[in-house]
Amino acid sequence: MPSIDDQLRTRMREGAPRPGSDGDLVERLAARKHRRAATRRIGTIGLVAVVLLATAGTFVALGRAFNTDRVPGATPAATQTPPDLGLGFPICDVMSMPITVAGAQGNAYVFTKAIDGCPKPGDGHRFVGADLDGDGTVDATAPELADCFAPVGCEAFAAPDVNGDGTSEIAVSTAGADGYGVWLYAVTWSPPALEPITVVDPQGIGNLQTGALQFGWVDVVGHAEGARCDTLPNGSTFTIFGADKMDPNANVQVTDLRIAGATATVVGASHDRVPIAEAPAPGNTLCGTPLHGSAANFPEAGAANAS
Amino acid sequence: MDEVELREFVRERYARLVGAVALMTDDFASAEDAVQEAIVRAWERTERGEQIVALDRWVAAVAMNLSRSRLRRLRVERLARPRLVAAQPVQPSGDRIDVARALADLPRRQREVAVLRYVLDLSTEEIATQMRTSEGTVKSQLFKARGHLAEALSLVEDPDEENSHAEHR
Repeated sequence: MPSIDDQLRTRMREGAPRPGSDGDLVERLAARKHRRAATRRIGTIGLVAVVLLATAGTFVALGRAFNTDRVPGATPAATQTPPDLGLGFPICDVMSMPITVAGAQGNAYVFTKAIDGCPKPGDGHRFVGADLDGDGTVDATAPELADCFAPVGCEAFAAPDVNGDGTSEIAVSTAGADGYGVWLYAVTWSPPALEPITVVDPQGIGNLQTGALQFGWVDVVGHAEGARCDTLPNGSTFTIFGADKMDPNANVQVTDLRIAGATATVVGASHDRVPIAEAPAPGNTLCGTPLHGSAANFPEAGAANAS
Repeated sequence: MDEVELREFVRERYARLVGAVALMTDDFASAEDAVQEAIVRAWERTERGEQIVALDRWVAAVAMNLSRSRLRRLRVERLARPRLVAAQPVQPSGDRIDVARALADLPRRQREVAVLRYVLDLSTEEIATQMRTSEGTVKSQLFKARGHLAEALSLVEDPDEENSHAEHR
């Protein structure tokens, strides 16, 4: 009598579904390979064109859009009397947004260290901090923000709970040529800490660079980037997407992340071609929470940037 | 990989690879698409001068990674529908349903270990490498999967073999 292993080998091989006879499979594989090569060429050319156009247009649009005070109704901008957040040094250009920490209410702040007055947005030393218990003092700060480009600089972007653990993550943005670059920070209650979330990709499948998690928030002609939260039976995922839209289809790259603490692990990825109407696009919320600062009226701001 | 090698690979390995990935994901359309995508990627890499030591293992690993993507699965299901009609895959027989059901009851990692072992003939060391885990974990998962599948498929152990396994344990 054959062993259990041999019986299993036989049964599973016989039980595996088999493709129907397909004489032209190699020809279809060759066609698929040509399509991939053509898509890459078109995507590269298109992306370069889009970036150049968007950059040129945005210089004009951003100058018009952000030459005055920040968007009303978002959060306090460059307040006349900056709040005392208990940091031990003077601050200015303070933006805040409410966060939830283990069910309690707190606040996230993005602020600039004031040295001989308040530097212009994009200049000086800018930080993100969090008041975890709502007492008006900052309990944790992260290292200085980098790449806060003038004229907008770095802003509080959103405070979603991307992994459904009851504590907000803090998103901070920098305004670029055709939209925003967004970083995500993890909040820890005990001990109080604010850490940049970093990407690990043990399977090597993601469409993202490992290291500090950054994603784009862009919706211009020909290109879109953004992120969303998905709740699945086995937990929440944070999905980052990008779409190069070349009529009539879009090349969509997606990376699914599972975020625990300050680590975002890539758990899935895909690269597909879909009709443009089905391509994902960012809006003015991130995982159900509103965008703040100059992004509060996105995508209008994005459209203005792209024009 | 030239066209002759590709045709030989497809003739000898394609059906088994698709079957293995389909057993693992319970999604035939996604499996077929993932295996084709993996073969094309391997083809591109070899044309760029990269060496792929064990092509069938490489294609299996990439196809399985691709199949794990939920979004890909959803989209491929929709896109592959017309092709499935044209290709007319064999309908599952009673035995195939039994095997699929038995596998579906296993946790994902046990299911993957069982398919890699019994369908693709990978060693525990190769499975551990592919799943980025330890050989001990693979052996443990395989032991559990083997027991569950044997019971679900009503397989009977040869008494001598049983004694042999008992001694190993």
